[in-house]
Amino acid sequence: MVGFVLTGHGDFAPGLASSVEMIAGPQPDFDTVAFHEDAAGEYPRLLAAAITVALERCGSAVVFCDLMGGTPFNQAMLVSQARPGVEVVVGTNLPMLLEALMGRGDMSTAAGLADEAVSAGMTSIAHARLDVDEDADDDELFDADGI
Amino acid sequence: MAEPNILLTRIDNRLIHGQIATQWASTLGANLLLVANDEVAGNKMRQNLMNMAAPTGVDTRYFSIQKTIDIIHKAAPRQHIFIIVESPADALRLVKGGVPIKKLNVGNMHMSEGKRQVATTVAVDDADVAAFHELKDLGVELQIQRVPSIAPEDPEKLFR
Repeated sequence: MVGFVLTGHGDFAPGLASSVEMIAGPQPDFDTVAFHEDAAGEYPRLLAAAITVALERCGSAVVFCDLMGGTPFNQAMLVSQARPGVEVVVGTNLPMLLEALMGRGDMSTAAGLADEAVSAGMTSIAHARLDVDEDADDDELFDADGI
Repeated sequence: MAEPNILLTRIDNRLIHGQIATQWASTLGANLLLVANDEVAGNKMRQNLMNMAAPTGVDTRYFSIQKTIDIIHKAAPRQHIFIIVESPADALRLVKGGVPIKKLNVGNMHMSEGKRQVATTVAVDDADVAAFHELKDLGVELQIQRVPSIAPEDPEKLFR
């Protein structure tokens, strides 16, 4: 299993983790590190420690960050340069986390999961519109056999 | 006609939503989400919203309870069906109407006036409990489970 670490400004990480829990239940090897202003000095060490734990437990890790160029992202990139086996994903949203968590298996790699996450995240972003055609005959959607 | 391939039936008063679309459908291996609900069967807006939630490659149907009863035996063997209903009363109507439901998952039944909380996401009133008793007497296996990754809760909680 590839270890996951979720991090971001303020309560982004614990907040998103609570959304994950509501939809998918508790997740193993999924840690969160919050970046708060009042503990900014401690943050690099906390993030590095969480990534280290993930590496020790799992051998490889994906770090999910909120914002390109922000401190959580910058620190994650620094750790990924120093430690082999760490992939960084940025612009994290709920669909990409859910997809990557579902996709974790014995054969999956950190790089592969990072790519899956980005792809899922991009396809989940839309300017949604609801077209309601009351006259549509949905029988044509049905298969010749079956229901 | 062969028996329809019903993987699971779930009571969930949010019908198709995040837990269903991202967790249950793939865990079960369903390729057809059948919402059996009289209100939604006539509400295109709610149908279209739920279509947005459904995963790629998974079909959706929105049938009234009666239409579900009338049509379910025409299902093709390749259709791996996950039925979602709003209430125990609707589940009971399906079972009494001959829909071969063996296992009934109780997911979300929200708290409201006159109901009592019996499990993490399940609140019931006396009518719900009576329906659960009838379902159990008809041989339906009941289980309380919010999402696939967490352990099921004791189904006896439904009768308290």
